Amino acid sequence: MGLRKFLLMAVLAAAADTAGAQCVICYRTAAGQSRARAQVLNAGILVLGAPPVLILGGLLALAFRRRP
Amino acid sequence: MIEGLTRTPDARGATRRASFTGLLVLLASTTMIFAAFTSALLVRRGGAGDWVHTPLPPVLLLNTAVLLASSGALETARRKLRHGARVAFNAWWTVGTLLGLAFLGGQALAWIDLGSRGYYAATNPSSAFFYLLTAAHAAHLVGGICVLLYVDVQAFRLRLGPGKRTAVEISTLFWHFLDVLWILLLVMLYVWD
Repeated sequence: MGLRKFLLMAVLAAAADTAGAQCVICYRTAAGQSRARAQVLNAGILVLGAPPVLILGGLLALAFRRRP
Repeated sequence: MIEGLTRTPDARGATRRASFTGLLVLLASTTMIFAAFTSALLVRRGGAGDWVHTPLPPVLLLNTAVLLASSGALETARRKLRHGARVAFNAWWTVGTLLGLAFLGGQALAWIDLGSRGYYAATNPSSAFFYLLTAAHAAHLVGGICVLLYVDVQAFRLRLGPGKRTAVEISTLFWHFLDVLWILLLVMLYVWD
């Protein structure tokens, strides 16, 4: 990827105000819930987040082990 | 790919490695699908007070035993082929495939049983998740069964060359994965549902 394309994508990503606003909405909704529901949400996020981390970690380990 | 290249040992090794990489990608994507469903179940169950337990059909336990037996038969077949026992391979592989089909039939019975007791996908969130999880698992099994049948047909036509042996190993590994996945789903349904 050329430097220009990379910079353009970085600028576009930084300018995504509407996307950032969704984070605030979601955060406030989650923060406004009871402690028990917040814990459930955290558990859901962990279940959703753990596999990609483990899979990507495994792929990286495999790539490093098999590099020529 | 150029046809002639697949016949050289190096190209065959590369194809085999590519097949295993493809399997890893498939396992990763399947894991993610079920992680997403599990996460949704957890949040939905704990996020609202309207969760009603769905009584699970007893046939599920029998189905689990059938699936485990299917995995065992396929593993035995794979080992038989490694030792060159082709006739034994054909027999064990066919048994494994038939047991896989029996598991699918058993799952259909579980759905019929649940439906006869008035639990449908739209009855409550718990039953919706039961149908969703079992259907997603069954869809993966149907894909696996197609490969098992393909290998079986090739074996009976005496066309089980080295390339097909990669298919044997990959489909066995995928089947074991679906086996473990089903046990995790069952534990989740019994414990968390």
